[in-house]
Amino acid sequence: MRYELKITLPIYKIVYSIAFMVIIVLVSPINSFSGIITAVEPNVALLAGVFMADNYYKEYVGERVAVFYRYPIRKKYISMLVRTLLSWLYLLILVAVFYWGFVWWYRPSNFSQIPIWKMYADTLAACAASMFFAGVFSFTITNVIQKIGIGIGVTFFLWLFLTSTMANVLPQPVQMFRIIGSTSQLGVLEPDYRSRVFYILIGAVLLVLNWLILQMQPGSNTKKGWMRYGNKH
Amino acid sequence: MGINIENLVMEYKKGVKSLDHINLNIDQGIYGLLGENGAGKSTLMKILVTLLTPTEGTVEINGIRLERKNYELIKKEIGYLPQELGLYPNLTVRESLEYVGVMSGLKKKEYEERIDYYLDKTGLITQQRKKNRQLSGGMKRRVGLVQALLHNPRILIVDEPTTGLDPEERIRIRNLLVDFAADRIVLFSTHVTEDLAATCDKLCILRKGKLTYDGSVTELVSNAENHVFRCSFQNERDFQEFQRNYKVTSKIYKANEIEVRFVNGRKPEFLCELCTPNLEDAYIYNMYVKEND
Repeated sequence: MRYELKITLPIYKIVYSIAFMVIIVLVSPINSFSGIITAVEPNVALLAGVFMADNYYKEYVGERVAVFYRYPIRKKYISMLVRTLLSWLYLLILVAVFYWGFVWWYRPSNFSQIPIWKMYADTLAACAASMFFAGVFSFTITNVIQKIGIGIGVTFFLWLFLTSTMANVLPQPVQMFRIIGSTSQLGVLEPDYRSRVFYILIGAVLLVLNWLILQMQPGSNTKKGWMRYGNKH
Repeated sequence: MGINIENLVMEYKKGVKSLDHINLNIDQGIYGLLGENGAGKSTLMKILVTLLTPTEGTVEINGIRLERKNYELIKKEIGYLPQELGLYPNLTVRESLEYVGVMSGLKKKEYEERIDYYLDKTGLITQQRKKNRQLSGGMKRRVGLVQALLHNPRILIVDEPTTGLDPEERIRIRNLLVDFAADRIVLFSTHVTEDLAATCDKLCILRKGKLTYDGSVTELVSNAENHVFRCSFQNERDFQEFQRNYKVTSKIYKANEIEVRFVNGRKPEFLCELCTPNLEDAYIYNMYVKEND
């Protein structure tokens, strides 16, 4: 776990994720507590997609994958699960902290009868689900294609679709960031948990599929395969 | 203990053959794989370590047939150091080796003992708390060797271990490979003949995916006897003319002349002196001259 923690959370990732959250707070004005969830959730899902994309792909740096690939599949898979868990937990802590960043910066009101802790818990739960799906989706695509740019790119376009009005063509339980409730001053916004559960299940299936993906020979899917990694001198 | 390769073919898309019907038997000891860039050395190694699946042919490693269902068994038999192993920059030398131990499924006591042994043997014991990003190229290569040996494989495969290292570090790596070959097969690739001359007694030469030589270093050198010559030129123009027709292995500018060493199928008509061949001459003779003889 200690090694995985150091491998999963290098300084540069911590720096850019914190910077991202600071920017999200600054550019997403809110005036009530119930507005925080809509400001945070889609954005942290995108962050998770970028943050977790190299979960396994980081092994491709300097041919390290040639060594990593040769470890027993069980060990490789557990390592990938631990990396997923650590990244996800770290991002969740970030959300938990920066929620109060919104509160501190905008001093929102709570006109609804819903307690603040309930809205806080709802936000964390929704973000946990969306980040889990986006992260797992992103590294699964990266692992299949063996190109991180494509993994992040596909995740970005999916995110763009799911955050746009085009997502309304989907059945309600499949609209990833669907919020129910009223935006009136006394109203409250809550996540539609049916969609969050749906995406957690999809994420879980993708996670299981990675058992097979990790057994693929590195370079087998790239245009030139290992020829890319041949002699460099 | 041995590696038996029969009719091995590796064909990439568009019919490019990286290996063309290779037959090879490798026994215990240190074995060199020599060839120009793109000759197929790395491809051959990647097949042996299960990173690539060959198009045709059979390979047996310590009696285990190289096929998908046996990959896990084969991986245990082989330690591998790729040409450029990027170590985790955030981990220390010891941590990265401990991580390899954990990932290889070794018991803590077992890998700790082996790490101590190999760190001592490779002269890295004082560097074990250093972060990987602080290491020199040679040190990284030594850490790579230790990681390859940690699960105690009976075969060690090392891809161009001395490339880009200073002479002192090259000698150190070569000597380590010789030591590690005492009780296992060490197969290492290079395009530097000096490395082979200093370490191996057996080698094979690949050229454009084909095996052009498989045998002892001594025999390779003796094949080039009576084919290596020395002559002199008074000016550069004459030399340039000469170079168009002969395989030059060395050129030295002296006070009033250019001294040239070259390889040829038979003694040329002009004035030249026969030389004792070295491994470099023998390699050039094998690669470019012998087939035209």
